[in-house]
Amino acid sequence: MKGLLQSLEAIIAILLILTVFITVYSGRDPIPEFDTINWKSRGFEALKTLDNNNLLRDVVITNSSSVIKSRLSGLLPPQLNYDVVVCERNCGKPDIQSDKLTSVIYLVSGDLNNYLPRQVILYLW
Amino acid sequence: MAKGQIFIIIAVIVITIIVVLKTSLNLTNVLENKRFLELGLERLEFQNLRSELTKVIQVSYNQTNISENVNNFMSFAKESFLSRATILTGIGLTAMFPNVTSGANTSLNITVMNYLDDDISSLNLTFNNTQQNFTNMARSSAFTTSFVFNTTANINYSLMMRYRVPNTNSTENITIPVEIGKTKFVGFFDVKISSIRSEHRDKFTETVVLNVTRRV
Repeated sequence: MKGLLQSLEAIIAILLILTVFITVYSGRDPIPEFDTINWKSRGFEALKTLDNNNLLRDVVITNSSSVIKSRLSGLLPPQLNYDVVVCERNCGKPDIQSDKLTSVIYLVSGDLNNYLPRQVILYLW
Repeated sequence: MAKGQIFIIIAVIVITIIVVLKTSLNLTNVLENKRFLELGLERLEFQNLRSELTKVIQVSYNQTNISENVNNFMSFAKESFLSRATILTGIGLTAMFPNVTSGANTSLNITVMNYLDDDISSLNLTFNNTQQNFTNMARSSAFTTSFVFNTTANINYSLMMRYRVPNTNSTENITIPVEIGKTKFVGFFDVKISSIRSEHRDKFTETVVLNVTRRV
């Protein structure tokens, strides 16, 4: 009988905790995802840094995505995956499978005496 | 104390911890921080647009069609921002005059670009006491006109642009700095980006001295 009572009190305790937990944490907005917005900010700043150091425009007008990618390697966290696409208007979508895929776009109007508008799209995941 | 009552006491302690944790985690602040980061990124994107619009004029320095390039870039940028669920709107005016000779008539070529949400129902340009009126300028369109000036000294002319979109009248005064012996390009822009989170707007003028031997 005593053992049964102890079991009952244990069950009541568990139910109490569960009830409070569900009441407190249900029906509210989930905690927002910070990773992607942080990646976007860092990605944009990295592209801007390349541009400020004259390391972007020359390779954008020659469509050298791979060179931009290698130049970005020292500016982005090593654990972050990224890819670069340089395009004008119809850029399409990359074949990247990730739940956390995000991107930033940096506009470039040209270089020196060449008007050549391009979008530099940095995909991050 | 009975063994069973310990479970209840532990439950009360755990519940207290859950409630304290929940109270200390202020979701409003967390959301506010995220919004702050998003706004920061949008501000950077707007600065990128503004600086590239200025650079269009600089990189077109040796080309004969600066105004076309500016118009083309506005259209290009509008599409790019649309792909980010952001609306780019604005109005642009470019003014260009060839090498100014003292006492000789010089042409001031003007292009107005409408990238606003609405058609411009009426537009008035006033330069050097001369007025020109236009009506029904469709959105995403541009038109070109010209004025003539004659000066014997360096002078800052004022070009006034008054335009009307539904329910709104706007007036812009743009300085045209004329110097004898110089060819110049002046670009005025009033651009705005709007997303579900924020709006950024800026008005700015960029003046570039061009090669004196170029044809306008």
